[in-house]
Amino acid sequence: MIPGHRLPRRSVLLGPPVASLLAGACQQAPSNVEGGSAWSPRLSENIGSLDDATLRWMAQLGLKWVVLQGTDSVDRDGKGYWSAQDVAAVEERCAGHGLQLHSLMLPIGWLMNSMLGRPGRDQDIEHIRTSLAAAGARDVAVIEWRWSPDFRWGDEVGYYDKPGRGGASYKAFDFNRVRDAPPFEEVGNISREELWERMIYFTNGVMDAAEAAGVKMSLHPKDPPVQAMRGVSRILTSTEDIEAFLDAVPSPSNGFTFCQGTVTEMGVDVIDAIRRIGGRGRIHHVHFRAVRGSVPQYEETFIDEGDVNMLDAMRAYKEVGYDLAIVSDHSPGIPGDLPGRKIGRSFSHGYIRGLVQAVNA
Amino acid sequence: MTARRRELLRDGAALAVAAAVARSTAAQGPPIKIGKGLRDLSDETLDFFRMLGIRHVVMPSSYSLTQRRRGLVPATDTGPRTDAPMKPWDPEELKHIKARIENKGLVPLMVHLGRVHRVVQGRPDASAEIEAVKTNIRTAGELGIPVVEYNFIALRGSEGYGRTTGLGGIGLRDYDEARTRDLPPLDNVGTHSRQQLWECLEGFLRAVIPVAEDSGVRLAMHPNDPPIPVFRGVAQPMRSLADQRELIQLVDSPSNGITLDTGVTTEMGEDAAEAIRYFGSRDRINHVHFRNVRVDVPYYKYVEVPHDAGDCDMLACMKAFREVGYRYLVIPDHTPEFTEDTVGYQMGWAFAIGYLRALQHAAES
Repeated sequence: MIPGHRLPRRSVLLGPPVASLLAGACQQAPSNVEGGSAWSPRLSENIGSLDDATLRWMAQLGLKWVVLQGTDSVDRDGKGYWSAQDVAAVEERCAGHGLQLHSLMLPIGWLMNSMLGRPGRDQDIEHIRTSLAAAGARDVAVIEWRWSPDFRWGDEVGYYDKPGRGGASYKAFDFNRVRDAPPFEEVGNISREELWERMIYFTNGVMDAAEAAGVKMSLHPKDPPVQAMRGVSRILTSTEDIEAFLDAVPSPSNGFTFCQGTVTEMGVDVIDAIRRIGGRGRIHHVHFRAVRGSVPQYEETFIDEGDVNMLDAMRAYKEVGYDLAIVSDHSPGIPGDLPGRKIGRSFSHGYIRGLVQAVNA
Repeated sequence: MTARRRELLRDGAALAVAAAVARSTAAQGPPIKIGKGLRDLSDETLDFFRMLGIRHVVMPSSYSLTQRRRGLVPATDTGPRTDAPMKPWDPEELKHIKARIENKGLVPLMVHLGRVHRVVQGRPDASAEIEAVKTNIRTAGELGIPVVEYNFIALRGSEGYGRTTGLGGIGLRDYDEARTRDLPPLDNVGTHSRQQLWECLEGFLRAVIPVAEDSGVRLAMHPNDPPIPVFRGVAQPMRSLADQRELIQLVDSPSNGITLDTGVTTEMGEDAAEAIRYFGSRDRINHVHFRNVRVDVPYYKYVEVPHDAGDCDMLACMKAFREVGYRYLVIPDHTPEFTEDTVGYQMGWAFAIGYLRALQHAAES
């Protein structure tokens, strides 16, 4: 006989919820990662647009927070900065689906003069300061940014499609495909020193405004993390670079997007990196995705089959007290997937949910 | 049962599985086999589940290449659709199905028997149906399919199901016995008492379990879902853990096992992990449906919720499978309905399988 687990029906009818009566039973709430004293990072997803299908999908996944990367959805009249009204409009869209806006992405165009060291960068910095104030005046917690004058995402920077599990399409990288490729005409050659100096100039130009606005800035590492490609040096391609950057601008608002994919591609101990950077309280965003291999050759896999032990990684975020957003970021291509790879990313979110529960158990 | 036969049964199925896995992957299968039930054999379906890392599946007993939407709320059970007796499977068709699945890198580990109305209703012409079941079990054994699942339902309380919504308007299936309490018996089914049904069940088991043993096949009886006492005058004979305990004692054989459904067990107000330890430590779990519910009134009123969000502690269940050394399938069984989902409910299944995979990793580490 199974001892002691049959519930008298009457006590259930009259008493507290069934779950609390069951030994070791789990939560009654619709999502049992978001409540009680359990560690509850803000599970979310990068989205490019605020269309109903996307927001509804997020809400139905049980997500509460929106990480908006679609920069066209905020400054819709193209004035070159955000007003509090712009941000409020985004928040209202999200709220219409029961979601809360967590973060916005700085448009790469607003950084181009700064990255290329061109005149006009000070004006851009002023606009960004205005934008940070607007975001902070609303409830935006994090501002994502990239330092990438050669922001590309295709075969011209060494990517190619590779068949993976079950015939899914993986984004793969092989540095040998572009090792000898010429510089991009519109970008030219940029040295490491130039790029670094300009980045510090920019960061110092905006960080006190971020602090004043109460928002955290989060810089994505350079992906793929190779030292230089097509004439442009690539900084933030090693954990040493990341730490040096955080040291150079020690503001608590200056943090790092721990893109687990990119850090895996660096070929370093990812769990140790989470502990070191997260231990400083400077992880401001997490891309929780998996990679097999490292520079010069790797592939972006499904979330459950990469080189990093994802359970250990999740435990490390919990241990360092990380409490901002976790997104799945990328998914391999599944034929017939819906816009935004909603099917592939639903798989990732099931997995993430399970791991969060496991580290809370 | 001879000691030799007992031993064959214990090891034979596991060996067949290991051999099948070795043939298709040249590697040992994972200790917990997260699987998926298949209703069609289209490229879309088979490739999709392989992409999600599925290696082991429930195979259908008929060959179809067409994806069909299953629907959130089950179709109304109106009893036998035809008066024709259940026909045994065509072994050639089953071979064809198995080959198709294996060619996609998947390993079929289970097949469902289908409904045995004449047997359940205790009709005088039930013996032909029992012979068909025996034939099917032998066919499964010859094909190296280690588990055959069956239901013992004269009439399912499907009319108590409805549709509700969860977070973001996701479609959920709910159940409330009050919706059907006053419905009359159906002419073509009649009324059936619990005692009648148990007598029929016992006769069935005594006839088919020896065949299953000889064939190296384990039977898995799914509990009645919804687990209500009676529906339209028809008792539901396998609706509690006490019933399931009685089942495995009735004929004491590893071939006489259960489908442990974490959803149904939770609907009963029971602790599913504890149930897994009870039946699993006795080697009587032959199949697993892994899903979650939020219960309002045990046995009578509940909502089938996303896998991560119900009353059942799914991680504790996964750990319990490891603890008892369970070696057959764990399938996610049901999924909620995302508004924009595809015909094959791919978002729903992707979320469920991702979640199960994470729990598996946690349970195995």
